[in-house]
Amino acid sequence: MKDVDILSRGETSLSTSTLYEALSRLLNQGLIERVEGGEKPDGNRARKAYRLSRLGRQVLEAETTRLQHRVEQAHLRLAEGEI
Amino acid sequence: MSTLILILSRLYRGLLRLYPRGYRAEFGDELQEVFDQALQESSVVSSQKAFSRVLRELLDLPGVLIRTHFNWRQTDMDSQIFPQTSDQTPWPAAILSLIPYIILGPLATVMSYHPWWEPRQLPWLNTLYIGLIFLAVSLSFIFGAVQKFPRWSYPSAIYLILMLTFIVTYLVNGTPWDINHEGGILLLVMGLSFLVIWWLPPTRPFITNLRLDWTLLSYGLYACTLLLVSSQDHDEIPYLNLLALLPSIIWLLGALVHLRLSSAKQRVWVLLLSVLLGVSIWWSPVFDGMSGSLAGIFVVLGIMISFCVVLGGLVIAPILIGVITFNRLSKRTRA
Repeated sequence: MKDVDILSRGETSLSTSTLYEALSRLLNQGLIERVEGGEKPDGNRARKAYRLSRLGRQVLEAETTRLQHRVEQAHLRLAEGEI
Repeated sequence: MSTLILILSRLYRGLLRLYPRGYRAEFGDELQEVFDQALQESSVVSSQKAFSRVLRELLDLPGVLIRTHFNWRQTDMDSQIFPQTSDQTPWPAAILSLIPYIILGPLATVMSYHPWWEPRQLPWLNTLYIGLIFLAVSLSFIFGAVQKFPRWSYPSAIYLILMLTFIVTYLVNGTPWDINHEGGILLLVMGLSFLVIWWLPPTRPFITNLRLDWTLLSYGLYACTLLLVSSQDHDEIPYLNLLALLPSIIWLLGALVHLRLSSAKQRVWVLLLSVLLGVSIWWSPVFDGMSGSLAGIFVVLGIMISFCVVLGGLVIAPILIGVITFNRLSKRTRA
């Protein structure tokens, strides 16, 4: 949640319920997977973490390329003065 | 401030009870932990920041709850009806397992158009053909038993039972009591086969696998439909053409796609669509012949729909039985 806050420069604030709704959906779609973390500093129980699955990485790469292509197109149009 | 955090944390714990039980069991602790941590960190900055954090949670919660209840129920139902056993069959096993059904389907259709196929002309050829199928299906069943009955082996068991029924019927009809025993014999052979499979340790996985995934039996029963679509009405299609072959080819492709898919829901849909498409094409020559009158169209359409419902029901029935059994067991466990 802190990362989202920092990445969006404070424009987006994520609630716990929204965060876990998204995590649950991504888990169902197989885009992320659970990783059992080490013990908490207080030694009570293992902390759960999530990481991108192989499919998730592929989807992210494809989506990044797609968006990059769009941005390049927009830059090109701007340079040509078409907009 | 710490007392206020404690109160808010307890309030959040109460709100978590509004989530579906399964969702709460999976994410409840994490939600509480992340909320507590976020609240703690916000309160260090300012009480206003902590207040806005709680407000954000309260504003987001109703929408999230509605969506989660809807999605969770949907996932729960899907997992009951279509259990996720991702047993995608490798290509070599999937193709090899279809060999008996290529002999029973397209090959049988091609041969039925040959003049020497008449049983009266060359009875030994028919016997040889039946023997060949029996051998192929038996081998498939034995290999399946060795590998603890993977998905591809389920039609073999059903076919083996059907073939045993034919053999027993033949033997009984060869006796002086020449009565039509087929219905009774089918039930007797099926019952005995079921008992043998249940009792013999090497064949037990056939039943135990079914408890986990009833779609295995759907695939087994789907094989029976091939017997129908590979038989031809030679009056309607007097010469061998693509239309005569198409239903059994669709059946085989449906089986291949079924074995290669990893989603249980998609697997069942493929079987249903192949059955419906195969039966529709199988009936289309009859439909052409009777489309002269309105009554004829209705009669053929009615028969076609009945076939689709019966065969579609055959594919779906094991899943329904599985769901009913699952629900009963769940209720008993809860009680």
